[in-house]
Parts: sequence; C-alpha cells; structure tokens
Amino acid sequence: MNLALGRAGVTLGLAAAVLGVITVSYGLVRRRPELVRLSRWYAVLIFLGGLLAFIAMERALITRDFTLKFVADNGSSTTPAIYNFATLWGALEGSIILWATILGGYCVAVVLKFRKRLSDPLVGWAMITMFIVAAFFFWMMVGIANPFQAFSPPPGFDGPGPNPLLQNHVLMAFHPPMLYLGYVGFTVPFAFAIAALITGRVGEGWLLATRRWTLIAWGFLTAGVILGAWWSYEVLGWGGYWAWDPVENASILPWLTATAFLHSVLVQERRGMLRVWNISLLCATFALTILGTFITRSGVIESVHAFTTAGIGVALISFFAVIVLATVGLIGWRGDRLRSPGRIDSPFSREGAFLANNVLFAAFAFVILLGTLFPLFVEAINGDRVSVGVPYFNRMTMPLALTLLFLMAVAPVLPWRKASAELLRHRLLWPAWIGVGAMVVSVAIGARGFATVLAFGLGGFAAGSAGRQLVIATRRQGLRGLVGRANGGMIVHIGVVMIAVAFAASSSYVRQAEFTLTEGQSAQFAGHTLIYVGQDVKLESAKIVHQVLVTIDGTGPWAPSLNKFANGKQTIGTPSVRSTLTGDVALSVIDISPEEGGTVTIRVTVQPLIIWLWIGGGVMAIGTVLAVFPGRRRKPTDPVSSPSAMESKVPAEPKQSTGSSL
Amino acid sequence: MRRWLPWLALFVISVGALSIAAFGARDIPTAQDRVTKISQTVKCPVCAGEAVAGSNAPASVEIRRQIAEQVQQGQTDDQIRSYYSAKYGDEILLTPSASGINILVWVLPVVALALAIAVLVIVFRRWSIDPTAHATDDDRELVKAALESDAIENDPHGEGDSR
Amino acid sequence: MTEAELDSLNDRTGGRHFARNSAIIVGVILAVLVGVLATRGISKPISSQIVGQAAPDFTGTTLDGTTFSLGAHRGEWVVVNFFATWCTPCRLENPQIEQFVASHVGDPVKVVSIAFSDDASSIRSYWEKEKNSWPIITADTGSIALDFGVTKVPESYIVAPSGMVIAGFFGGVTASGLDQVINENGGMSIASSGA
Repeated sequence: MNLALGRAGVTLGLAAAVLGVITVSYGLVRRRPELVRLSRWYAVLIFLGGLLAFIAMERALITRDFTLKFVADNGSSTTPAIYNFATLWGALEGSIILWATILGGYCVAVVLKFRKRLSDPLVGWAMITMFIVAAFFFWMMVGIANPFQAFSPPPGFDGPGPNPLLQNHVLMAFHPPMLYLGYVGFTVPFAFAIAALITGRVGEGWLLATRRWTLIAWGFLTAGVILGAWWSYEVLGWGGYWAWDPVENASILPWLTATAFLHSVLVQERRGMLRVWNISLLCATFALTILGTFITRSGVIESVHAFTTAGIGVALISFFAVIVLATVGLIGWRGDRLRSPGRIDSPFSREGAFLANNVLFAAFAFVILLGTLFPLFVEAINGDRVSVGVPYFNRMTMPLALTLLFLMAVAPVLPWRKASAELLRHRLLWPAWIGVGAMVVSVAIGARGFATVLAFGLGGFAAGSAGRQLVIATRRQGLRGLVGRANGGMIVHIGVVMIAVAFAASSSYVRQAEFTLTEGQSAQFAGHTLIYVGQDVKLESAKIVHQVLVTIDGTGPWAPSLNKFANGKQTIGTPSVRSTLTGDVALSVIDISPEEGGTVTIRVTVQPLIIWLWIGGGVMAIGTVLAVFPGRRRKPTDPVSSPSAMESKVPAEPKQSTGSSL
Repeated sequence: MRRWLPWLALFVISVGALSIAAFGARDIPTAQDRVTKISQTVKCPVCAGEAVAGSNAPASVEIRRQIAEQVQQGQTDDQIRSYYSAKYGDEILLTPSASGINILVWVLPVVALALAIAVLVIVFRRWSIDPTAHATDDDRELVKAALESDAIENDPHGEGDSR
Repeated sequence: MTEAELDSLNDRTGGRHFARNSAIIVGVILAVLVGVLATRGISKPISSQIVGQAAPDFTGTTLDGTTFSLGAHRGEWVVVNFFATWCTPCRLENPQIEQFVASHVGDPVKVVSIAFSDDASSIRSYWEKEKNSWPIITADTGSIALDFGVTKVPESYIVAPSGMVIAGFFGGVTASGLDQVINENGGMSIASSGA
C-alpha cells in the first residue's frame, strides 16, 4: 500500500513536471496565454506528487513497514518514533523525497504569489525552469535513487535502524529540513534570473519580484547551518562545531554567494549597476547548491556526512554541468544588455564598499572551494593523495574574515556616491571607541594572539556601527525603526559579530585533556575542578546507556555516557556540556573499566564563549524575520544620496536621510 | 588638527593593545596543550576526514597517546608530524606541504585576490577620468517627467527601464 | 542606451564582445572543473597499505596472561585477525578460523586475534563460550590496529614466513580462502616451526 502510494506520487510528480515544461513553453512560444496560465495546476500536481511520496514513506517508517527496502535498510522497531520520522532524510533516497516535496511546495507558493501575472513571460519561463529542476529530482527517484523498492522481509526481521549518531539528538529532526528549505528556496530567484535572461528583461523587475524570496531562503540556510553546527557540537563531544568538512563547506559556499548577492542587489536597485555581478552571484548560488549536493551524495570526497548510491554522482554532476552551461551561455548572450552606463564615482562610497564586499565574498568562496576540491585535482594530476583540513581553512579565511568585519563596520555609514573624510570621521568615532575598548578589555583579562584580539576589536567596531544605525532609526521612528530591510540587516550584522567573536575565541583558546580517575578523585584543569562521583546505567528501548557522573566546579553531576546499541553496533559516546555565558566545559567518556569500582577515562574540552555562537544565530534569525517585513515606504523619486558634483539648474532638494536606513 | 586627536589616541591605544596581544607574556603551553595542537593537524586514518583531536575512534585515541609519549620524550612538533607522514604518507597531515603541486593551494587564493584588486584599481582609475556627470536637456526632461507622474505606461509591473 | 553610447561604453570597457569572451573563458574553466569531478571514483579512506610490506612487529598480552610476539614467529605463517564481539561478521567468520586452526595442528601456522575496540570481559566470555584455541591479544592500546591500518573489523592479514604481509581479507575469512593464499605462496615448505 505504501509502496503503491509512493510510486504513484513520484510518477505523478515527474509527469506533471515534464508536461508542465512542454505545455508552458509551447504556450509561451506560440503566444497562447491560457496555456501558460496552466502552470498553476502543474505546480499543484508536482507538490501533490511529492507530498504523496512523503506521506507514504513516513507512514511506512512510523509503522515499520519492512516491505519497503528503504525502511528495511534504515528503520527499526527499537528506534523511538521521532527518529523514525527523521530517518526519512537520514538516508539518500529519502532525502530526495524531502527535496522534491519542498520544491513542489515552493512551486505552489510562487504560483500563488504571482497568480495575477501567470501569463507574463517572465513568470512563465521561471515556472518552466522550476519544473525542469523538479523533473530532475523526480526522475532520480524513479530511477537511480528509488526509495520505493520492494523487499520481502523474512519472519522476525528487524531493521538496523538509523546510524547511531543520527539517533542521539533531537536536532536531527530540524537541521536537514531547514537546510533544504534554504537550498531549495534558492531555486525561485534562480528561476526568475533565468527567465529574465531569456526574455531579455534584465532590469530590476525580476529582482524586485524575488528579493524577499531570496532573503527567506537565505534565512533558512543560515538557520540550517547554525543548527548543524550546534548539533555537531552537542553530539560529538570534543568541542567541534565546525570542522571544514567537505559537506559543511558545501553548505557554506552557496551561503557566501547568496550573502554577497543580498548586499549587492542594493546597488542595483538604487543605481542600476552591478547587474552582471548580481545575476552571476545568484546563478552561482544555485549552481553551488547542486555542486554541494553532488559532493554530499557522490562519495568522491570522504566526509562524515556523505551518503551515496551507484550512479547518482554522474547524474548530479551532469545536472550541474547543464546548469553551468545554460547560465554561462545566457549571460554571455545577454551580456550587452546587462551593462549599465552608470559608474561608481568613488571607491569610498557605499557602491564601492559593496563592490569590495562582492570581491571578498567571492574570494572567500573561492578559497573554500579550492581547499575542498584540491585533493581531487591533485589525485587527477599525479595520483598523490593529500589532505586539506582545518589548519589550511582557518589560516586562509582568517584575513578575509577580518577584512569583512572591517567592511561591516564602515559600509553602513558610507553614503552613496562619495564619502568625505569628515563624514566618516564623525560617524565612525563611537564605533571605533567601542572596538578599541573591546581590544583593551580582552587584553586586560588575558587574551593573547594578534589575530584573535584584532578580531575582537573589529567585531566591536562593526557592532558599534550597527548599533549606531539602529539607535538613529529608533530615535526617528520608535519601534518601527527595528523593522525593514536595513534595520533588520543591522540586527543580523550584530548576530554575525557575536558569531565571529565566539568563533575566534573558541578556536584560539580551546584546551583539552584526558583524565583517568577513580571514584571520588578530582582533577584540576584550565581553572575548573572536576570530581568523578559515580556511575549509572539506564536501559532504553534502543540502547543501554552507561553514564559517568562528574561534577564541574561543584555543579552537576554531569553525565556523559557510552551508549551500547541493541543491534550490536559499536558503542557511541554522548557528551555532556556545561554552558555558561563565558564558556563551555564539555565532557566525554573515553573508557569505563569493567571492574567493580574501577577507573574511568574522561576527556575534557574547555572553550570560551561557545554559547554566543547560538545566541548570535538566534539574533541573526530575528534580524532576518524583521528584515522580511516591509520597512518605511518611500517614493521612487525621494532623493537618497548627498548631491554629487553636478552642474545642475534643478534647485537642490533639502538634505534628507543622509546615509542611514534605506 | 583637533579633530584628529581622538583618532590619534585610538590608534595609539590599538597599537598598544595589539602589541601586548602579539608579544605579551602568555601562559606557557602545557604538554597537554602541545598534544592538542599537534593532534589538530594530524588526520584520523580510519575516519572520514576528521582530525585526531576531534575523533574518538580507537585509532585516534591511540595516536593521541603516542603523540603524548613523543611530547614527553621531548620531540618537536615538526618531528612528530614527520614521523606520521613518513609512516602513513603525506595524506595524514591536514595541512598540505608547500612543495610540488601543493604550492598551488597556497598560492592560488593570494594570486586570485591580488588579481581582483588589480582589476578593481584599473577599473576605478578608468572611471575617475571623468568624474563629473554632465546633465543634458534630455536628462532634465526625464527628471521633470518622473517628478510629475508616478506611473509609467507600458510598465504594469513597475519594472522601470530595462536597460 | 543609444548605439553611440553602447559603442562608447564598450570601447571603454573591453570591447563589444567582452561579455561573450568572458563567458567563454569562464565556461572553459568550469568545464575543466566538471571534467575532473565527473571522473573521480568513490574516495577511499587511508586504508591499509600494509599488504606487500613488512609486517609491523608487535607484542601483546593475551587472555591467559601470556605474551605473544609476532617477531618470535618469524619463519612461520601467521594469520593476524582483528576481532570484536560487537561485530556480527566477526562472529560469523569465527567457525572458519576454528576450522583453519584445527586443520593445521602441527604445521608451522599460527593464528592470533587482536581485540579491536572491545573490552576484555566480553572477549573472555565469548572465547570461553566458543572454546577458541588460538590466542587473542586483549591488552592493547590500539597501536597494533593502527600499525596495520585497520579501519573496521573484521580484517585479517596473512604474514608470510619472510615477515611480509602478503594478503589482506576485509569483511571475513574462510578456511579455504586462507589455505589457498598460503598454498599459492609457497605453502608449508617454505616455513619451519620456529619458537
């Protein structure tokens, strides 16, 4: 029953997507608007197909229907219900169901939002692009990554359950869906960019129509990445929240180009410039999500996250090649229309800052992409095997990150067109005091390391600048000064500064040690006192949990544990973390000696300011939500920048809004 | 000159703070800290891409123990790292060496960034040859028309001029 | 933009075909990228390179307290087997190893197992239950597995009388498989009962 339902859903989705492409493109080419408007029904059918497959698979997982091979491989009667639900995206075929369903949902959302202009060729071609992407993912589910394969379970069969690491924490239920909402969300602005290139309407229209979609997709991706870091930290137990793992890098690459895009569109909206940059950044974002999917699912680069099946690497890299070809071809064809006659008057202006921003983010993405793919290139060239890991990425991205912090401080106060030294001096004074104050305070409490302290200083500088913008906006508009793209953006900046400072502090000042203790024995480490007070054993449905009870500085007892899973898999450790605003102490169990009253070996990791990573993430989320709301309405003809050196007989307008919110 | 005074003060204080940060007295790394630092640069041979510092696989635990032993014996960081690269190949070190083809991974980003900055400088120089915009009568007509009406015909979706 | 303005713009910034040319360059670079990625196979972790090299010598304490040293058995065939009680395929191959040991009583052939990430008490109860007659090293910090490059169990290696590792078995051995490799590489004739 589940099998039939699922297969029906997948077939429905594929058929609707393919027919949609044919019908709508025919309608556009032959100028039959009634055919083009049919896109709304195709979108609904695609979503229904995906939803059917999703429901069928979830039902099978929850009821432990082992007649489906996917459930037989990944489900188990001993796994708690929520993990069975989340197992859908814990294995490859199921994750494609999630992707396709979310894509169908976005298709429906687009036809709803644009229901009044469905016959507009811009929207039509955008729908065609989205249908093509949907067709690809449904095609994978019909062929190489088929989740609905039959299986005849022998009597008494019980599946192995998901990987133990995926059953350890509730964030498993949230991190992948958030990520996918982000990745898939970028399909919408990408589709509109392609439509703009095809129709030749490469002005600001497509941009204005989709800017909120891009922001929302970006918001989901940010949340997904931060939840992933949090989950990794909670589960792995040695303070690791970011390992520059290839799959993690794959998620951050589209985030970087999307962030650059979100900033650069401000220049295009205001002055019609940087069009080539913007369209390239957006298409690069989407292409990078597909490349990221390839890296995750092809197995060509080893990663703790990778999962693969035969043939899927070829399919994904071919799709990536098609996207790249189409995008580069279209941009090359329409290149002349994208050029704008305007120029950037001065590098010391907001346009200049955003251009520098684009370059820095592109360089950032380039470094990460190079480092991730370099082992593959070396192996292709001379067969050697090399590794590129955390030390490389930290060292190469640090100068870029520091420069970006500096830019984050200076850009919001830069006016459009041209800045004067006096203006900057006046506006940046207080933020600069905050930055220097941060450096002095950190050095006074013992922080060392040039780059780390510089990061603290630049972070303070950037936070001060963002704060200044918010203060000005709220003074003028009260609470409404916190809403809208520019103000929400400043709140997001503050969140970014929190994360940057926390990252710098926790990576530079991490300390680790292992201790073997008998009961009642204490250990001193990094200013903390740890006492091993006892053990405990808990029996749960899927595992036996051996807990080691340790007090930290008198608090606790904290209970890191070793989990022995019922289906005979290796023992997995669960850490226990004490978080305070100043830092975290993470404990994990290395060994429990089996004799009565024997020793235990625990590993301690002390890292400062970790909790600010998650607080910063929350602030970024709040800022994004606030940014999505419409801000102060302004007429297109309101003057927005200080007058430039212009011979003009038009009387100068009274100075308004000098360089603050949008 | 007065107006620059606070900035001068800020500059002096920052230089002072950063100097202390860079050269000031700091805690001497303990043996355990050295083990942590070295194991952050050695790859776990049986995991998928993790460092020995961050993995609880038996091989990693063992390597950490071996590193601790070697630190105790007084070996330097580089000696310990070369012990492992001799035994398991260059792949076990998480930082690619700066020799042979590996130089590319260090050099390319720097080259790319330098190129980008150079292009920006050239472009800005070209642009600044004629920085003042001269308003023509056509431009004035355009501004007058825009100020007088909010809606433009043939543009039902408010896209403005495509070009 | 008028034609004249477009021309002037193009003259200032790289020519009429600037867009097309840059697109071609970018396209070529990306084509190379795709080509390299498409031709990669599934990556392998740093797996055991030990086959074909000299076996790393090791010494360890076995279940009954005696010491087993690989170097002491130079001149004999030694099967080094990595085992864990939580590993189902390891338990499945156990009868095969028993059969192999039984068929070579008196031959210059030794089998030694090494506990991989497992505790001594589980090993002891399993060994006693199965009545296994060959030694298993339980008191080992993991260095032996590391030296052999063992990534997961079961893995077994055949060490020839010369001290070289001539074969590796990943995922389980059979008695006949072990015999076949030994016979193909000289059999009992090149070995002698050593210590």
